[in-house]
This record gives sequence, C-alpha cells and structure tokens, in this order.
Amino acid sequence: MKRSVRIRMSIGMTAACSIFTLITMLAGFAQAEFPERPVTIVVGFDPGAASDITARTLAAGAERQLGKSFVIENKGGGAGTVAAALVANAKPDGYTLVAIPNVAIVDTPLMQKVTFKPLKSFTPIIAHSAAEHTALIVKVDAPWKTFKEFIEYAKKNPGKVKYSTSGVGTGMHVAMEVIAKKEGIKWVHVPYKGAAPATTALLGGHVDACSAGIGYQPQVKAGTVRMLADHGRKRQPAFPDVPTLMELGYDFYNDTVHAILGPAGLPPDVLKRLEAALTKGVETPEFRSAQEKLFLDPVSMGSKEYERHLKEKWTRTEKEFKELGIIKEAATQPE
Amino acid sequence: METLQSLWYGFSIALQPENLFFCFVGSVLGTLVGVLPGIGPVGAIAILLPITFKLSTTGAIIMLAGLYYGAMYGGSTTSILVNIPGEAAAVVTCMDGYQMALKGRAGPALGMAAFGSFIAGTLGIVGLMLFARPLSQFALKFGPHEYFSLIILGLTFVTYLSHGSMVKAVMMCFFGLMLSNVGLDPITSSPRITFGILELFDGIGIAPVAMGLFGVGEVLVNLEKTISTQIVKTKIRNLFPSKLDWFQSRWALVRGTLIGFFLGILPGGGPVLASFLSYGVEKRFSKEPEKFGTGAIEGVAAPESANNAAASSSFIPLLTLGIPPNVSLSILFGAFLIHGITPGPFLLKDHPDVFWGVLSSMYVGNVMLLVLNLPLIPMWVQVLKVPDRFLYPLILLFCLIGAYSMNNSVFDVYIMIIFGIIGYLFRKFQYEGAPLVLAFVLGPLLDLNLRQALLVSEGSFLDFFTRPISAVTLGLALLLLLTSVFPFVMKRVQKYREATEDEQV
Repeated sequence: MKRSVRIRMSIGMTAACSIFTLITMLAGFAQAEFPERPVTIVVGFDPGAASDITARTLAAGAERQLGKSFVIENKGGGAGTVAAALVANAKPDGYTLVAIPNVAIVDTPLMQKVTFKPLKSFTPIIAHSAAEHTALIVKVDAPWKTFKEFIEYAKKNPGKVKYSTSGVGTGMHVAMEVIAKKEGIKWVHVPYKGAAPATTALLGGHVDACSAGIGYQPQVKAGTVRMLADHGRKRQPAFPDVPTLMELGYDFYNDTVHAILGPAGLPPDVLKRLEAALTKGVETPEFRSAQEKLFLDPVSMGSKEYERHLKEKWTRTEKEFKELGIIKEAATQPE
Repeated sequence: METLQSLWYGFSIALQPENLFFCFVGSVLGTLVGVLPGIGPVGAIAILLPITFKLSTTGAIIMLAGLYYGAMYGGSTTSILVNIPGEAAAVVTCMDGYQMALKGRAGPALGMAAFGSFIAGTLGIVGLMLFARPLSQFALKFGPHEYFSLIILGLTFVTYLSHGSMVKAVMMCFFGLMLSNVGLDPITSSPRITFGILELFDGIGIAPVAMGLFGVGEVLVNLEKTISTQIVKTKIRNLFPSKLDWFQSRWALVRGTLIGFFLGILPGGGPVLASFLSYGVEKRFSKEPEKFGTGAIEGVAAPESANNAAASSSFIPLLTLGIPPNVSLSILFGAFLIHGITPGPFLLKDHPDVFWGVLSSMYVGNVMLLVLNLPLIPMWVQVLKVPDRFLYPLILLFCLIGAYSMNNSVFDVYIMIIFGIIGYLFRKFQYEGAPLVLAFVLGPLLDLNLRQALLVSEGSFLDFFTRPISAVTLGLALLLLLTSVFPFVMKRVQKYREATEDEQV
C-alpha cells in the first residue's frame, strides 16, 4: 500500500514535471518570436551628429516597449551612405537597422553611385525629425537688412557675393542655386566641411552670406548674425518675423528628415513591432527635449508614409538637381 | 581682482563633492581612452553623452571636458612604451619617446610627458581665463588664405621631422599629401583615387595609418632580431625625470605651451598640428639637432606640452564665440545645447556658474590627472619587462582591436595591415613615417583652404601676399625653408668643389 502510493506519487510527479516542461517549452516556442536578442541600430554619422543623438535618445525610450535593448553602432562616412549600404545588405530579420536622414538615400545617391538601390533596398520603419529650418544669414553689420535688399545687391554685382555652405548638394546649397536660377544671379559658392566652419567663415567676414545648417540659431540670438530667409515649410516659432523661401516666391523648402530603416523584406510582424516600439520612443519627453535642443521639428511618419515620402523626394530632387545643373543624370538607379 | 573672485566662485562649484566626482570620472576615462589605441576622445565623449542627460549641466560638462583633456595625457603612454600613438596628437611623441624607452628611459619619458602635460594644461587654462575674449576675435581673422599659409608653414617643418635624408623626408611628405587626397573632393564632392570602393569615399583614416606605420611596422622589424638584443636586457633606470632632464626641457616646455596655446584657438588647427610644430621648433632651436630622434627628452616635452595647451585653449572659441573648433568640442557643444545652454558671447553673463565651474574644474582635473598618472609610471614601465614573445602579439592584438573599434570596420583593419607592411619596408629602407603623417594630416586642410581661398579671391594668388597674417606666415615659411636647405646645399657645393679640386690636382 505504502509502496503503491509512493509509485503513484512518483508517476504523478513525473507526469506533472513533464507537463510543466512541455508548457514551458511551448511557451518558449511562443516567445521565440521577435525580438530574441538586442537590435543593432547603425548610425550613418559620427558620434555627436544629429542622427546619432536622436538615435540614442530614441532607442532609450523604445527599449522599454520592445523588451530588448538597442545597440548603437556608429558607421560614419559617405554622408551616411556607407551605413546605408551595410544595412541594405544585412539579413532582413529586424536585428540590423540604420539611422540616417533621407538625404543619404536620395540626394547623395543622385550625385554619387552607391551600391544599394535607394527605393528598393530598404524597409522604411519610422521618420521622426525634420531638420528643415536651415536659413540664409548675413553678419549683423552687413548693409542688407532684408532678403530683398540682399537679392538686389547680388543682381547688380554679379560674381561679387560669396556664400558659404556645409557642402555641395546639401539643401543649403540647393536653396541658393534655386534663388540664383530664378533671379538670374551669379554668386560664388564656397563649400565648407560642416555647418560650424561655414558659420565661422561668415563671422570672420571671409564670405558675405552663409546658407547655414541647423545650429546657427544661438548666433542670431546673440546678435552676431541676421536671418534673411528661412528654408522651412513654415516660419520658425523662435523667429516669427523671418519669411520662408516659399513665402518669398521660391519653390523650395529644405526637406531633410531623420529616419530609421531596415533592410528590404522585413517580415510584417517584425516591422509592426519595431514601428510600435520606435513610435513609443519618439513620444518620450527625453526625446522631445533632445529634438527641441537640436532645433529639430517633430515629424511623425510610419512605414508606409515614409516610403511614399522617399519616392516623392526622389522624383522632386532628381528634377531639381538636373534643372540646376548639379547633375546631368542620376548616378544611381533608384530601383 | 574680479577674475580672482570669479575663480574663487568657480572653485566653490568645482569642489562640490558631486562635481569633484564627475571630474574624476572624466579624467580617468579620458586617460583610459588616450591609452587605448583606436578609440579616441571623440568616440568616448559621444558614447557618454546620453548618460549625461540626467546630470546637472555643470556636472555633465565637467565630466565630458575631463575626458577630452584627459585623453591628451593618456595618448603618450603607448607612444613611449610600444611606439603606437594612442591618438593622432601623440604621433610625434613616438619619435623620441620610444627611443628613450629603448634606452631604458621609459620612466623619465613618461614622467616628462605627465609633468609637461600638467604644466602646459594648467598654463593653458590661465591663458584661457585671462585672454579668452581678445583671442577669440583674433581666431576669426583666420580665413582660407591665412590657413593655407599656416599649413604651408607647417609643411616646411617636415625637414625637421626627419633624422636622415632630407630628400627622403620630402618624398614622404608628398606621398602623405597624395594619400590624403583619397576620397571625395571637398569642393565638388567628386570621388578621387577611390577605385570605386565605397569605404574609400571618406578617405583613409589617420588612426589605422599611424598604428600601421608605427606600431605594426615596429613589431615586424623586431621579428627579425634575435631575442638577446631586447629591451628586457636594458636595465630600466630611474623612474622620473632627473634634474638634467628638467634643465634640458625647460625651454621646450615653454615654447611647446605657447605654440599649443595659439594653435589650439584656431578652428581646425588643434592639438595635432601643435604637437608637430612644437617638435620642429625645438629641433630648429636646439644646439644639438642631431640628438632628436634618438631619444631627446625635449622631443617628448615639446609635443606633450603643446597638445595639452592646445586642448585647454580650444575651449576659447567654444566658450566665447559658440564655435566648436574641432570634432570633440562639437559634441561638447551639443551637450551644452541639450542642457539648454548656448555657449557663446552670453555664456559668461547668463550662466556664470557653468562658465566658472567648468573652468575651475579644469585646474582640478589637471591636478587629478597628474596625481593619477605619476603612480602609474612604475606600473607602465613593467610592461617593458614582458618578454617580446608575449608583448608583440599583444601589441598586434591591441592594434587590430583599436583599428576595428574606430568605425566597426574590417576595412580599417586592412588599411592598418597594409600600412604595417609599408611601415616595415620604410624602416628597412630608412624612410621615416612622421613626415608622411604630418602631410597626411595637413593635406585635406591644404586642399580645402587653397581652393576656398581661390574661390574667395576670384582665382587670384595675389591675396596670399597682400593679407598681412598670410604674408607674414608665408615669409616665415620661406625663411625656414631657406635656412634648412642652405646648409644642405652648401655641403653639396663643398663636396663638389673638393671633388673638382681633386681632379685638378
């Protein structure tokens, strides 16, 4: 009797254990869906760039939602195209993503041949910030008080006005060429490496104007430079008196949008989880504050919307570049 | 008087336990980052940046600034011990520092590097405190023309960076300039010498080149030697600089500090150029220039004081104009912005606590770094006692990891290996790496500024000679070139005369 009880008990225990094991195994299988391990975000610029700071802050908030951590890797170079090429060739399992602005997928590939197909190699996931409020600035002691005065001077003195930008083919360069084209102005472009040296050149009086990248705002507030025109779609809340190029009658706004993408062919459920997690990351106060401090505007585009945006931007930019003579043919085929 | 009061106020902030802690963490991490080849202050500051979001503004900036100048201390360690520059500003320190180590004088070299760094760093802060405003205006006067002339002056120093043949040094210089042209053209953005390789579009990185030429090259050359002639056998003498060392280095320290301080203010110039130029100047002024490259202590004191003074003074444009002069400080600029403070003309007025707190913390940080680094010297010297069969594979391993970790790029590792082989061949045929590295660093600046200058002056070269700063700099370059070429030519002429006289006889 005693013995049979014991046997029965052990059988029962074994059965219970096996069932428990089975359940945990099944549960294990059920949990084997994405993500099993940390997700890597390759940032297309060196540490400290807007892409980098936004990606790091965004990841910190998205981790809570995703349940796994994000690893940030910096792979600067080729204005973001090196990282883009790397991720374009990565396995589309959702564990390798890239953080770059749309410029790395559209503008740069239009000018230089890249190894990926800009509109085919990626699964757009989320676009979170726009860096559109670049601007035309002059020194505060310059004779031109308004955009109009500046343009009139430039028209009367062909080849005299020199302007600095952070590089060829940047939105800031295109903006100046769009103006020149419409007004028939001849002015001299002096490209610098980055927005800071371009602004410095203006402060030192080595150029007459600067088509400045994000980061000039403190100088305006400090009263060392004057803003003549804003490149954004709308006026900047901090500088409500400065007109946009659109208002001034030019068909141009700076369309630089920071985004996160994966390789083409991400499974729909993986894409959904990533999109949800990253959207949560955008909504944190930390991210909003970083955005504000970097003078970025919040943008909220999901996967489908951003895909459409990229297609539109490609067509528009290709046309713009050809008209302005920056390129003759697109250097890369989009698909 | 007012300055003293402000400084007192600054110390009251910097010495708060919390800020003291951040200063310590920053300095320690900076030293570490400097010692490890590959990862430099730029990467480290960026990685730490998100962590500082939660800290107080002053605390955050104190820590990140500590990391930046701390890296200048650490950079010399591997240069001296194993001939691998820990970061670009420490390339010159290899030349005499490593030779000193080979002679068993690693201790004094490390000690002089630490003291030199401390003295120059501290004097740099004094300068920053007293002359920040007028000097920042001076820095703005430097446009493309002035930079171009300054770089030309820098390149004439190439002849001083070489121990042997001047012709070979000039060859190396041009090779360096060629290499620096790989990548996208800075004006038109069209690719040059890239062979369609995507990784080359951004050019070749300085770190893999320097680690390859110096570190890997050194290891390969040593593989040829038999075990018996190793450093192990050299008795490691005193651990700290002697009275004689101090006496010999006194002017090198002063001149290095001055050169570093002025070049540090200029956007784009920075610690690297300062370290090279100060070395050249020392050799020029030295009564025994032939001593350089064989383990002269001045050759360590000058560049090490220069790069630290430059690190201090590079804060001037950032704090007074709101212009970051180099990449590390760009990230620091970002850190300021994220904390809601805009560095620039109004910083001192609107946030005196941050301004003076950070400034005072730099004094504290430099003392900490000295206290931290001196006891480490006996430990570092022990590294040289590691038998070569363990040390060399370890050096190779660290170089490989360092090259990879910069950009997580295998391509950089290949670059380093290729330059390791080139470095080996250089040594076999007695070419020197330093002129190449100097030209390589200055090449992109030369290219960009020359073409910007020509755009600004509408194609006229005349402006180089009519702008005062540019003209004086070019004149100085010409003078230097003549005085260094003259003896060389005279020697040849002498030889030729003797030869013809012999024939006549």
